[in-house]
Amino acid sequence: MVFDKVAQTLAEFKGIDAAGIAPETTFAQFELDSLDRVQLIMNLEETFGIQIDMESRIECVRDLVEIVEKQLSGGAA
Amino acid sequence: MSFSLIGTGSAYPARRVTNDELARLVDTSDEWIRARTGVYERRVLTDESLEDIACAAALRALEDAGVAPRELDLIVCATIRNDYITPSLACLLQKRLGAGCMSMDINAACSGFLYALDVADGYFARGRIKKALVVAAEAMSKMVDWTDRATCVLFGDGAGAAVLSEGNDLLSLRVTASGNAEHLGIPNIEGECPFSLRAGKPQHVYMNGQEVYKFAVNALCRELEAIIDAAGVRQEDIAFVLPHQANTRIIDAAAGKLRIGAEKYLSNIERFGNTSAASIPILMDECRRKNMFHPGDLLALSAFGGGFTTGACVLRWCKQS
Repeated sequence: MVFDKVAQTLAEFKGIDAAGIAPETTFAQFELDSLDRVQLIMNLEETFGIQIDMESRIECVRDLVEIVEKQLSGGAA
Repeated sequence: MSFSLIGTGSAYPARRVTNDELARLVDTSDEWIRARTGVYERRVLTDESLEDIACAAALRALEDAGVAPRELDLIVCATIRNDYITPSLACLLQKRLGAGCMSMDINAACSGFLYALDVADGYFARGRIKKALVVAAEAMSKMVDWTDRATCVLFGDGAGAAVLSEGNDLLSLRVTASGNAEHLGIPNIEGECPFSLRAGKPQHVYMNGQEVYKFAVNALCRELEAIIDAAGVRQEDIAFVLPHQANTRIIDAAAGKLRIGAEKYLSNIERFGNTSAASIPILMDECRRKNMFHPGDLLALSAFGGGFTTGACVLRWCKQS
């Protein structure tokens, strides 16, 4: 499941329990600065073998999951 | 035939500018700067010239090497902004040191020191020279927008130098470029030609921090892996990594991806900020003076920067402590 892998990647990055991450959890709640955001995107790119546009609108975990799913299905993100 | 590194030197301005001082200029704080970049303070040229600190670094390297200026066959300076468009900084140093050799500047931004080593390597390989002086000197303070809190906190001024002689201690070296003026650059002045139709821009650093961070982390990892492999050694064999001192978080991110212990990544960014091409030779000289390096130690140098450029090498340390 894409959500599970995204949540796990996020959890490892922040050093938190993945069980506490929901699709509606916002990025603001993770307290990520702009460099954290880049590093997280890079980690997801490595995890899924995809490229993610750095300018993508990402406000919550659900947005991230949708971007990853779209990339995996061959669409641009 | 390649080279051995037989002397190091460094010099920097006397004036320290702390994060607290910058917080009085722009909307920032010491805490924010430290957390985001690892920088506590940086050196800034006031009444010294870039030539002054470049010369001081060069003299210290020559003294460390036990080489007289007149023995030099080549001077290469890596700098993105000399005090003059011409003559080159290398020519100014040649005169001031009392050398008589060919002298040139190169501009490869933060990768400049590695590019300069590559240039020197070519001359050694062709048997054209026996001794070379490589200097990296930058006056970043003259190109920073001191009202832009995103960039003015990052950079500092400084100079580092190395003296090279014929030898075989360069195990691998690789420089690359991927042309890009979109995410990182410094425009030059347009001049005063009354016929020009081009609008001038301020000579300030501009940078897309996120794109540059991504480029830098990928470059640092990729190039370290490549040059260590090209040297025919294992990552575990590397005694120290001297990464370009751009941002602590770049170094930390890259360190997490390689099989080189985190303790082997050297850093002095907290006291100097990003001194562009000068950062690696300043770091190398500081560590040399602390007797951290021993004969046979394998040093991995890796730089990345405007261009985009990268430069990396594996160097076997040959100097006695």
